[in-house]
Amino acid sequence: MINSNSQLAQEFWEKGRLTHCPILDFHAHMGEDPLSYLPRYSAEAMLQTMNTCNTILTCFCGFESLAAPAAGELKDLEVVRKYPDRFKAYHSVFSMGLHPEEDLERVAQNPDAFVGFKFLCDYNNVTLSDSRHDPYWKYADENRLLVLSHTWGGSRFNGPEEVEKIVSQYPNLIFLAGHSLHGDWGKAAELAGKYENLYLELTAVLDDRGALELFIEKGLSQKLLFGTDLPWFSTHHGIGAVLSAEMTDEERRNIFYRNGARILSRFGWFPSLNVPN
Amino acid sequence: MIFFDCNVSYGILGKWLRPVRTINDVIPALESAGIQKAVVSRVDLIIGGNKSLAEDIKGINGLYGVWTLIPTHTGEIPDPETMLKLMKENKIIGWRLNPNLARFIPKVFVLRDWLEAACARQIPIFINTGDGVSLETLADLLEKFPELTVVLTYKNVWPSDRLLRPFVAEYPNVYLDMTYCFIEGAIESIAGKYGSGWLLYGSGFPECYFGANMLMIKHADISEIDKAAIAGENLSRIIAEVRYD
Repeated sequence: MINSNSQLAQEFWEKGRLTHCPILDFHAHMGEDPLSYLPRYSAEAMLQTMNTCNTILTCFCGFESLAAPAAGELKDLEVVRKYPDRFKAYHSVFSMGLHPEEDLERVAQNPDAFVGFKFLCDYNNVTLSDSRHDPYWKYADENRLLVLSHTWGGSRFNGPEEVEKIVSQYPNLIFLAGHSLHGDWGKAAELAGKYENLYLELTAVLDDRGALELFIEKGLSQKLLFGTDLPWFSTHHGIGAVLSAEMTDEERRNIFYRNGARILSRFGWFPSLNVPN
Repeated sequence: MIFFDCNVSYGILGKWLRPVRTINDVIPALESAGIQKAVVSRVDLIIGGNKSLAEDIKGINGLYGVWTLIPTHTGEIPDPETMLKLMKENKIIGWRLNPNLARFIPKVFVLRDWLEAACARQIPIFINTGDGVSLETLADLLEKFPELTVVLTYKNVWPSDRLLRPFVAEYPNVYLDMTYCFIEGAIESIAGKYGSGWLLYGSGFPECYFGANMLMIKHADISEIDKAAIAGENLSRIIAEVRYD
């Protein structure tokens, strides 16, 4: 049952997937992760999960791309070429070994494959606002791309101060705060309310009961994006958490697909969603 | 399918975003989620907390308690034999260790009488690594008491199969609470290799939601029999095997 106050929860409980409530996943990876055993890391296995949950599109950055973009990005592109309606990629910004000319050229040549960039500054010990990142920010801003960044409360590399520097300077890009500045929920809500181009992404937020409710109480249901870190976290686990949290079914729909469809509509390849309520 | 949650807490010392102070806050949440039975523990004073827990769940169908242990050397809590009688009278089905809160060393020489009683009476010990019992410490305990029944909560959302599967493979009575085990495909993978008998539905409420792991189990790509085992039957079997007398 999950949540006796939610019609959507009861339907998901029975069916596991709903054609009238698709999922857009804005935070995923792909491929072998040396740090972990992940049973379903291939594109095909992830696709199986997506079909099971009616995830219609997943935006990802392969694990290999995070550490070695030159090799990894080709694999990510291959997946997008193979499944163009189901996967789009974030181009990795590998802060410890940047090659902006090469990276930006690759993105420019594949506008229907890359939705933007992925930053992982905590893992590279480089701040988001480091001047070496400027070419990426300028390109994303000029081309109205999405930028997914790992963000964490208390971090000097990708904490609230760094996020604010970027979203205030580059208003035309959409900044997806991966993990919603994890732990610094109040500041995350404050910034998402203040900056139109800042969205809070929910990977690793959904196992902390209360954070989502705080965002909803602040009126941010239109600034939240669903994400799973797939092939890490179970999509059904994430859906179950959103269905369990205290909010309305309309707010849940905002999280599952409406907000995502709105920001993806800036890309010519994204079809308008015809979802009956 | 009946859900029997192995990991529900409440109490005044809980550091949760949405605190749940009393059992009266737990019961409606269980009902709304559709949880029929739960093992609850109280994050509270230890001696007073154990007593209060028994009073809280008295007469409430479907709720079972876990009492917190401390070393017997100070004489603050009853000895194991006396405690067993009290447990039977109060629907207490297991023990938990919280050396972080109670400030003791979770070593064999400190807990020997409890561990001997737990093995002899098949009393499950609820181990949460977040309470100060590391996997290395647990490995030391199990090396000396390999028959110990353990409900293991590994408090880390990172993929943990490389850490946890050896415990299941090596020790016959180690069970995994799934509260923080929600890696995509993990249920299918571990049930396929070791069977579904080692997995227990746990929510981690009130830190986590009841419904997250419920939906994951309900729609896992395993048989309905395996789902029912993980949802509640495995835990029911563990409890049925406790020998109070």
